[in-house]
Amino acid sequence: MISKGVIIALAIAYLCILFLVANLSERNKFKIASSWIYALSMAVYCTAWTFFGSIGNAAEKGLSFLPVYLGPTLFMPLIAPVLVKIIRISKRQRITSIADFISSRYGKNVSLGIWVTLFCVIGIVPYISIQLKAITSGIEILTGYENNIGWWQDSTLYIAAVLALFTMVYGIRHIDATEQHKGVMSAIAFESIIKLVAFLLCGLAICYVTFNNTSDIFKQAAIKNMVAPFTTNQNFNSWNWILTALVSALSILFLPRQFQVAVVENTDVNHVKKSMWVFPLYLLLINLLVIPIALAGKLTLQQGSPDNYFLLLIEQLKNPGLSALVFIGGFSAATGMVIVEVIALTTMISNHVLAPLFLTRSSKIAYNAGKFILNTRRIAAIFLLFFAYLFEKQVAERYSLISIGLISFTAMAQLAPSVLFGLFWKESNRKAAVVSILSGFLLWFYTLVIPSFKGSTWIDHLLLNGPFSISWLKPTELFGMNHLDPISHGIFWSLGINTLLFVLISLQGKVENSVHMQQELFLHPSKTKYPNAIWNGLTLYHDLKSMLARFIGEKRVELLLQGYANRHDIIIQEDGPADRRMVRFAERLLGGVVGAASSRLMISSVTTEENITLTEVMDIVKESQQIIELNKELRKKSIELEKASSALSAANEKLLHADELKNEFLYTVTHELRTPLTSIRALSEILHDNPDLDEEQRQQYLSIITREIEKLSHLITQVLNLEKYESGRQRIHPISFEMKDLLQEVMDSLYPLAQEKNKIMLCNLPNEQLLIHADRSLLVQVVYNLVSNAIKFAHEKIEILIRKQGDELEVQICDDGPGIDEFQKDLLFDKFYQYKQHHLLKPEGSGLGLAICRRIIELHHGKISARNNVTKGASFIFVLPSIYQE
Amino acid sequence: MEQDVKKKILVVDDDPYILMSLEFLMKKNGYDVLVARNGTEAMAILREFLPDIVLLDIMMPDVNGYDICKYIRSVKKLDHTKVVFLSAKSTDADIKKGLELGAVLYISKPFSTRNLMKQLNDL
Repeated sequence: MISKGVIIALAIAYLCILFLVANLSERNKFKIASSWIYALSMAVYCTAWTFFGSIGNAAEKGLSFLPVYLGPTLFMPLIAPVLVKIIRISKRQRITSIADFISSRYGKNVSLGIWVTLFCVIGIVPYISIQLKAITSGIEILTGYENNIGWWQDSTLYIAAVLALFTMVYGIRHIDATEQHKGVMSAIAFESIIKLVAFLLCGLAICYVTFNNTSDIFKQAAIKNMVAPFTTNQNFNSWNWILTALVSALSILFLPRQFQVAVVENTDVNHVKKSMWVFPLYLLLINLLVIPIALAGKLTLQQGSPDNYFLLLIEQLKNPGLSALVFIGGFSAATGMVIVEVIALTTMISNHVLAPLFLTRSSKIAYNAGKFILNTRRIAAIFLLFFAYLFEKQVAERYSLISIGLISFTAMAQLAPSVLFGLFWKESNRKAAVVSILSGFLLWFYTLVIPSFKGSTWIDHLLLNGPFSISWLKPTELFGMNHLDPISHGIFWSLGINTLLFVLISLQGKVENSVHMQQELFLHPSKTKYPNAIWNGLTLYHDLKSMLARFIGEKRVELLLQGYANRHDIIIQEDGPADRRMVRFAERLLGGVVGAASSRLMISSVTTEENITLTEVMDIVKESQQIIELNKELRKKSIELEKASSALSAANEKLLHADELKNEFLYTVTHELRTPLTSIRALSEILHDNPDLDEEQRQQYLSIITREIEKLSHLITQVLNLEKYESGRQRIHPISFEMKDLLQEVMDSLYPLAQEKNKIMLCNLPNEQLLIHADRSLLVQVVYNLVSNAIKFAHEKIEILIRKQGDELEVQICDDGPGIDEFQKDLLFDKFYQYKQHHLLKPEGSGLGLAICRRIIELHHGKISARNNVTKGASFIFVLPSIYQE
Repeated sequence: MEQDVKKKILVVDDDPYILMSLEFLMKKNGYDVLVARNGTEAMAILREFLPDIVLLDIMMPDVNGYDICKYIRSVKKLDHTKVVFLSAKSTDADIKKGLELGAVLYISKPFSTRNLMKQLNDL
């Protein structure tokens, strides 16, 4: 037994540590990864209900404590993507709470926000009260009961007060609720660790000190027939399990505190990844010892509420350290929940209930509106904890931790259809949201809250016989459904009817104009840009600024607006109308302080707004679509431009290279032209200056002159031809013809030359048809060039071969001459190559022939090459596709 | 020719017709002339012939005219030999390079035979 004073001191010391953690973290004294803080703060899910209630539930009903943890674990793969989407939307829209989220989704509707807030408060206050109850029980068990004490001696009251104080100091300090509570979250993560460690240590102490080990517990329990609830499925109802698991999974998203830690306090969407495994792991660890402890309680304790088994078992050990630890564990579980829940609820209350009430009559609030909001939140926090305290005193005593917890879960699950459909279904409309939430809450109240008041005759009568004695309306057996436990029954009807109504009304109804605007932002948060204009009215910049200044201070407003204007190229006219984007920005800014709906109301109070007609909305939507499209187009264009510019620089390089080649070509051409010109001029001058030359010499000189002139004109023709082929100006005129005919024709025309030089031309033409579709006159040039080259170099024999290879024709012209230098094979086809390699005798020809051949073959998409024969001489081979293709 | 001793001249060019016409011109003007159809031939002749003037083409397949000129300037016995370039390469840079290598004249092709002879006689 420890004294009450020690326990209270312990509680206060613990809260001081929390203050310290929060404080240090705010001042960045910790270097803990924020992803860990995020993941651990999710474990605020585990409250005193987990710490004490799971054991109580397991002792009473066996495994039925499990679905509450199985649900979130099993649904995690589904929860995570939804959570990510919600986080994205909330970041953009500066969403401050679950109520804000719903009211924003459905056109920033004020009444919807009020309803959701109201239901959250009704649903959650009992839940807060059971946390207080858990703390009180802890104190009572560890310090001994005291009857008939005055209220001023009631520790619960002081606990509630201290918690209110902590929340007010650390949770409600900023005017912009979307500025996150870094300190508080670190404290919450800290608490998550404390409660887990405390639970495991105390659990192990029971298993290994009170008993020998866990199997000892199970053996003893088996002897006393206590294991059955955990091993048989006699009381097992799969529907109870499924419904409880479902509601628990939904709670991960929709409980105000979960929404607060998972969405509002999220600093980085990627943190969700870590929480996906850390959180389920946490749930597993904290449930590990539940069954042994529950059985230990049943084995050793004859009296007391099962919810207190944990405390009682530890108390039996008579170890002050362990007693303190179990108390601190439960205390941390309870305080974490209370603090976050109160932060979330006060934000909702001030933004959705109080702000719309007071702030629209803006002229009445003379003082700083930001301070006003903060104060309303602080007062709300005090009220919430006070109500919870009252509830604990009057009602909670009678109920188990877990039933009140599940009833709260079910209340919050009523928000699920509106949120989830709102995220994924574009038919969702406001009417459906309002009706489904209202009907869900009414059914929740009827099936779950009313039965919990049993004991009063009126309610007992209702439960037993149904209202007006209509038996199928009995709150716990609606339409005669009696095979579910009361909680699952309530879940089934409230959530079922809620969802059904939402779908039916959405299908029937029309999506409201203002909802249209928000819809896109929620359905496709990553794609949608804010439409340029949503305010169809005139807002004076000065009014806008001074209103904002009331909430976030003159200096900051100036900074924010100026920054926004700079970023978006907006010119601020102090006395003129504000840019529509600016108004929109102001609305979002203000939304972060007072919630979307209130923000909209306030902006409209300084705006002479015209009603937005559907066609205007359509215009806006269309406009934004056009802008998106234009953006896409622009992006495409800029990519194209990039490509083009790199292509251009490549082309430029090529051009430079080509320019070099061209210069070299010109240089060579002029040289080639000058050489015959030189001899022509020299010889003509000799003829002119020497009339006494003998006739024979005269004739020789004249014939040289004629041949040199022919060479000149041939060269000029070839240069022009080559230029034509290379510039691409040469058009291919393909016709179908027999290749053998062409070869024959060329050989005939070159026959005299071959004879003159004493060379034999051999040609082995196959019998098969060798049709080709190509430019005949160009190919004649190629073959003529190659054959005449061969005649020039051959020793005595030229051989021409042709064959068909699939879709290609291969022509081979072989000579038995000196052959080609191996390393020069590829250079042969360069312009004027001949010039560079010719030997003592200058071969006739321009040096352009092979270059022209290559060009023509390439124009036909064929290939030309040269190689040395195995025996003697060289072969020139070209391969052409049978059919020329553009 | 005023001198009794004929001036010795070597003509180097790879174009047979140019060579033919230059040979004719030189003989007619009283030079003791030898021709070479490429660089290798020219080098061989030079040592024996020790010409007073070398008419040198530049672009030739084996050894180019610049190298022949350098060779001439490096041989003691050929100190008296005057090099005249006769080339189709006719940019300012070509001419400058030729003269820097020690040539006394640089004549672009095609040339006037009368001018050529006059310039050679003035050497």
